[in-house]
Amino acid sequence: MKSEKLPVDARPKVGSRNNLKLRREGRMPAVLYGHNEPAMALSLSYDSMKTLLRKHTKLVDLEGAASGQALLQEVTWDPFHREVLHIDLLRVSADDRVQVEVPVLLKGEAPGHDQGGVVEQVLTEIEIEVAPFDIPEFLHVDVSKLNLGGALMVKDIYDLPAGAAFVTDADEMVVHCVRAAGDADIAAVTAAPGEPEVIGRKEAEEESEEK
Amino acid sequence: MALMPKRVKHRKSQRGRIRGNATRGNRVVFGEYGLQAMEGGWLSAQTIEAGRIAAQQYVRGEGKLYIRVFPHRSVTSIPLETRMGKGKGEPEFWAATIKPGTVLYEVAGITEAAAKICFARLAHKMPVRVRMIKRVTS
Repeated sequence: MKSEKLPVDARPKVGSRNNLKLRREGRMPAVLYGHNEPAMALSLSYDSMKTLLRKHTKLVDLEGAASGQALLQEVTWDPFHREVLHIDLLRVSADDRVQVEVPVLLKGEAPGHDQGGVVEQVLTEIEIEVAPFDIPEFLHVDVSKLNLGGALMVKDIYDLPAGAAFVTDADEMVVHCVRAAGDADIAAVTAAPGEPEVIGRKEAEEESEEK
Repeated sequence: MALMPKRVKHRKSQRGRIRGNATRGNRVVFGEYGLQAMEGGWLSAQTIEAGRIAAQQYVRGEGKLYIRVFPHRSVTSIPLETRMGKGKGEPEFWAATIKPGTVLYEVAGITEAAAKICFARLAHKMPVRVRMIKRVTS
């Protein structure tokens, strides 16, 4: 994976109030840690970060207050997923191995779809252990032989980079083809609903209440 | 049948207040597209069921629909023309408490255009303002 340049500044004032002011100025708070060095509070431009996220960048070359390469370890979004609130950066070097989550995409048309099935992707991201410079943008699984009732597992992913290993269980299901909902599933059952059972209530209490 | 808990600790609950935004259940996790509430409120079991039928009829045979909320809260009411007092009313219906940002429904296996139409049908039945969102990959 290609790394992108990311200019950063030191962030002497920490805390939520100061971070709020920072965000109003078009910057965002970040923290850099790893390699048994002390954690560093940083600030970076909101626009440059948004551009990196749009490109699915995971590896950055730090410039300014910090140097070296870092991995985007965690991105904190607001509840509506509109704005990035905070970034965690992990120091990495060429001989490190990191555990990252990589999105899995489906490739091809599943024949099970024509057989009346729905292709359901159960796992959309899988965790792999890989060198930071070999992190793939996406992993792919070929569904062109997926029939109705069939399933493909993590081990069926065909483009795992050399030297990388699955952290997610290799026998975990990624995608399967299940029968689509029929009319019976759609129609509402009109049976009269009862009352739920009350935990810990004795029958005698219920009877006395009814009286 | 409208959703309802199987077992509860207490039949009746206090009304409470809906404060803040949803910090969990605010992402699309099962499907590819989701319907996110933009304001807080109660979603009755009947409304959830009405939404399910409206959406399921559209995605039938192609996609899969997921309901992300469950009506855990009982809502009580007292009969009309009843004098004051005599205690709290009887449970009338079950409702899900919705905070702004909660994902209510998700669909998988259909195109974005189809999901848009599906959620438009569904949104008409919702008592809160909603919007369609996509799954976000890291």
